[in-house]
Amino acid sequence: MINFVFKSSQEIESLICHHFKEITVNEKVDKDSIFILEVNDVSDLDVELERDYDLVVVIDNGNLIFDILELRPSVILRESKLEKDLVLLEELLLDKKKHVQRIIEFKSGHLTVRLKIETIMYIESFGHYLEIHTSNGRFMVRDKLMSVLNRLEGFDFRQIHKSFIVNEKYIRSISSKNCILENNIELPVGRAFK
Amino acid sequence: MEKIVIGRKNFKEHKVYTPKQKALIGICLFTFFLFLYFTELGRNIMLLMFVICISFGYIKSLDANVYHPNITIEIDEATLEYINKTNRQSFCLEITKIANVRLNYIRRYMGMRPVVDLSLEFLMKDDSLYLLSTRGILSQKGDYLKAIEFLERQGIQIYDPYQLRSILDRDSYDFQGALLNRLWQGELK
Repeated sequence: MINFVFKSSQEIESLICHHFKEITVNEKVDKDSIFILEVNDVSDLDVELERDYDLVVVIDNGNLIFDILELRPSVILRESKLEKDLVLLEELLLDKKKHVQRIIEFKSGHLTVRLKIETIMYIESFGHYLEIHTSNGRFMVRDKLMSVLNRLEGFDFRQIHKSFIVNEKYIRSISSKNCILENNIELPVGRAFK
Repeated sequence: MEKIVIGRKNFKEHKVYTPKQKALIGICLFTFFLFLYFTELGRNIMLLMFVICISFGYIKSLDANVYHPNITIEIDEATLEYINKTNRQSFCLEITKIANVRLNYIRRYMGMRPVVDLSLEFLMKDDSLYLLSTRGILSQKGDYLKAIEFLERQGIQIYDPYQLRSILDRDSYDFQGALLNRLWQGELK
């Protein structure tokens, strides 16, 4: 049973409770619970940054989107399309059961990147640096391939070469010599990783 | 294709002193100190120390003049690219996949002195977030303003909660000064 705590309108609470039968509603947030917060103005954003529960934010417009993202919410739901966005909440519940995090953060010098793990296509290692290729573009951080591979555990990533990790979701074809991705990028397959 | 470059590439090269020239300046200064030591002036140790400090400061400034962090932001109709050759960091984003950009600032301390840097936050259409501190980018007057207007023309919404846009028409040094002024006046937290 997953514990939900609401700080939202009755309408949102009843819609979510109606959709998810296997949840309990409490008033106090504890570890592993999901806190549903409706945000209408800046004063609603009074949430601790260091927390051990998941934050789900319900918004009615995008004006405060960057302030909300600073709180690192697990999911953002749009009030106008709440019924459609409940799929995201379903995914979060599944992730909680599997004990995996869908969002990964990279920090390197002047750059901080926070992204959904499924948007990563492949990762290439150059010495002490990693070039991470996503569906939006690419970025470079100082990290080790093995430590990132450990952080991606539970997702469909595999190492195909000593310098390459690839997301299986984006593989079009793979042979003993190379791996071709959906966007026609060809990556080498190492002998030890066949 | 229109291209906007923020950073070093817009700057003229400063005159560079070669190591040989710097060595020559060093030898001249050393001879001068030696000369001072054997004169009346050399007996005033405080004055001698002052002259030495000024001279070392001058030699160091020769290096400071030619120091470039070598960081650029290049924007065209297809991509937005950040290249930091000093720290080997970079990112490249497809313009069509950027949803919003927020102008923000980051406070830090350089020794005891507070410094404020512009921060650009890119929210992508798939909810990925790229936070970039523009620390070390030597921009020319109006570079950031041009870039922001260019992004707006590409249909990207700009959020400016701290009204930083009004001071974006300055170069990087003036911009930092203006941000710091705002901080002291209590307009920024």
